[in-house]
Amino acid sequence: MRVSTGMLHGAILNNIRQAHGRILKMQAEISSGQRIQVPSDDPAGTARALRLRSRLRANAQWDRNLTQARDFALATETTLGRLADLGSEVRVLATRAADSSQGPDELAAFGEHFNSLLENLLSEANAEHGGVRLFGGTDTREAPYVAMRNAEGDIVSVTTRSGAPNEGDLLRQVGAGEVIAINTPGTEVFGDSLESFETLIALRDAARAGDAAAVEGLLSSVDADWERVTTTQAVSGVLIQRIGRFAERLELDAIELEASRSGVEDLDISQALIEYHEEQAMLEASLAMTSRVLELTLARFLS
Amino acid sequence: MPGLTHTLEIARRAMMTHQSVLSVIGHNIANANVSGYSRQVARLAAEKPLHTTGFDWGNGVGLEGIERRRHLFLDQRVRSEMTALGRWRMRADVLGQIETSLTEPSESGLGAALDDFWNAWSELSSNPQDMALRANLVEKSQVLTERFRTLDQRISSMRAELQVQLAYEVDSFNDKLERLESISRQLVDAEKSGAMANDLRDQRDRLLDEMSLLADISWHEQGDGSLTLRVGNRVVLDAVTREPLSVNRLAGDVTGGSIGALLELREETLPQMGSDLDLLAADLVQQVNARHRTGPSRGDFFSGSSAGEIAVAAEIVNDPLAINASTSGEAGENDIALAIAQLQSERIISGGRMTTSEYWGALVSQLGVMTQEARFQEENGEMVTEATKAQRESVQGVSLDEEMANMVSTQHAYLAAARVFDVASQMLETLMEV
Repeated sequence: MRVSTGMLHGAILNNIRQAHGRILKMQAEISSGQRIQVPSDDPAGTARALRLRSRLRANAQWDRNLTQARDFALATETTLGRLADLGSEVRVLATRAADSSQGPDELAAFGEHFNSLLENLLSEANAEHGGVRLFGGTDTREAPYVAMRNAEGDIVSVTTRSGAPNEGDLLRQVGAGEVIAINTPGTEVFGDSLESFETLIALRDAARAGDAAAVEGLLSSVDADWERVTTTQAVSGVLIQRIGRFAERLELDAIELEASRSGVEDLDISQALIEYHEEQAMLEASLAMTSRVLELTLARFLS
Repeated sequence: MPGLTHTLEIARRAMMTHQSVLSVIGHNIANANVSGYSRQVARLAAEKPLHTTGFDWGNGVGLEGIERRRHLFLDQRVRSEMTALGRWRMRADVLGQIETSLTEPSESGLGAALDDFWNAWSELSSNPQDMALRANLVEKSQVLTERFRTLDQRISSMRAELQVQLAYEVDSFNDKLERLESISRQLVDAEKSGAMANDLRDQRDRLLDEMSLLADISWHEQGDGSLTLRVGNRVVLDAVTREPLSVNRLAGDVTGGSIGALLELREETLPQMGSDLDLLAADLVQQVNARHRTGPSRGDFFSGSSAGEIAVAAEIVNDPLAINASTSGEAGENDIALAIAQLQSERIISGGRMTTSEYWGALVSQLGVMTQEARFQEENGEMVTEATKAQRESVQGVSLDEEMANMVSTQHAYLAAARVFDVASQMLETLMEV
């Protein structure tokens, strides 16, 4: 094929131009550490990267939700622990008070003790964590349990503030379409008709009245009340374990997702540097050859 | 018998002829670096013989013509490749600009804003009455709506820029068209006498090359040298008329070159992108509002229903307490907040076919595919154009070495002819002295 001078020059310039173009692109990749500068660098990879980033963000949010949930559940567990201790103390006291050998003065003293435990019970029943009541269901602000008091300030009865007890679930999102309830309904702890309070009020009144037989009659209720609390403690423990497993799974997912994302988006630096050096070497060779070729013309040889 | 004077005449004519050849060689060398220049070749031929005394006596050499080395078929191929290249180059350029403005994948893209929006609802569901979380939700929602509006605006302003660019390219085309007409006229005049107007033809071919980048042109040379030029099916130039392109009435006529690409981008590609974005905004607004309205205020969370107008409802911006986190409004209830947070993983976009992030991912990667294809075709087109140009160059390009070799042989021929002249002249003198 006939080769004109222009063809030679054009071909050489073209090669150099293309080499520069490739080197420039590589420089951008290496300095950013990213394989993908714009979607067209790898459209399928971009779609994957977007999906992975999205899942990572959601994962982080669910993790935050779980932390909050766990804190609430732990606060509930701690309170249930105190309630169990309280229940245990009531059992011991009631058993002793029921002993017919107790005199009226001793019984009166038990009565005051029961009263003080009653006030404790009310206070624990209205406990809160982070401004949210533990046992109020979805009625989270105001104290769920209120006391009616007599002229001397003693509790006469305890009722739920808003009529029927609120057994609503406090729901938390912990995964895609995964929701868990983190609260314990008050009725599970204190009884459907607040028997725990009724028992303790009755105990106090009986003790103050010096009626050891009445106290003895209440012992089975005391046991039932205490068992309710310990059962709820077990359930609460299970919830905390479940939350722990969710959190663990999220952590493992996060590690996997991040590894995948990095695989798609991040540049293999050592590989890139090798290719970059190769490209530079080729450019050098190209330029050296250019100078040789351009020197050769017939004009040099004609005198 | 033709005598010495006849020989002198042959030598003289040979010397003149070779001077002409040198002139052509000189013209080629002078124009070696002029782009689009077609080399010229002096065509020599033996003169008609003289028939006398029973013999055919040769009459020396004469210049038969100065030929222009050009390959019509290669011209067509180069120009059709250039039309394709012009189109892909413009597409790659514009699409590249759009995909850069998407800023994906990154924290500043729409994808991240969507995720933050869903997360803010999830966060609120854990503590529905918290004022700080409500304020956070409003803020994240505003970031989201702003990114929608910014993208929408980017598409609109891109369309406006394309319009300006289009006007510019059309003007450029019409400019060349006018020059083409003028050169064609000159050419027709010059060639009436029978000689080829080689340099005018070169000028005309250069213009045609430039115009082929702009639009899908086709041309046909008439017998008298005049040119009929079409863009698509429309005649824009012939022997009697010139019809410039009009920016506002191009649709359907121009399908190739940079003008064709600009038209397609402005009329199809960008509007499609805009409506794809609008669909995402509209479905998002509809789904979120539908749930939000079941709350105490019965109000909307978003206002507007397109990417250009989407915003957080004014009542909510003014008072984050107006956000309905639950149907009952009770302190611990969070059913609406939970439901909306769950929308993140539900297929709520495009008739229930995709989640918001699937849809956005598809939109982004679709643009990426289009841009990648345009870039690939541009690169490919450049290579093919260079290759076909090289083939054309092979026919029409000047090789300095070749010209210099020809120059040397022309010089030798001239010297030899001068020698003949000298000898014949001396012989005549001898004759005179007898």
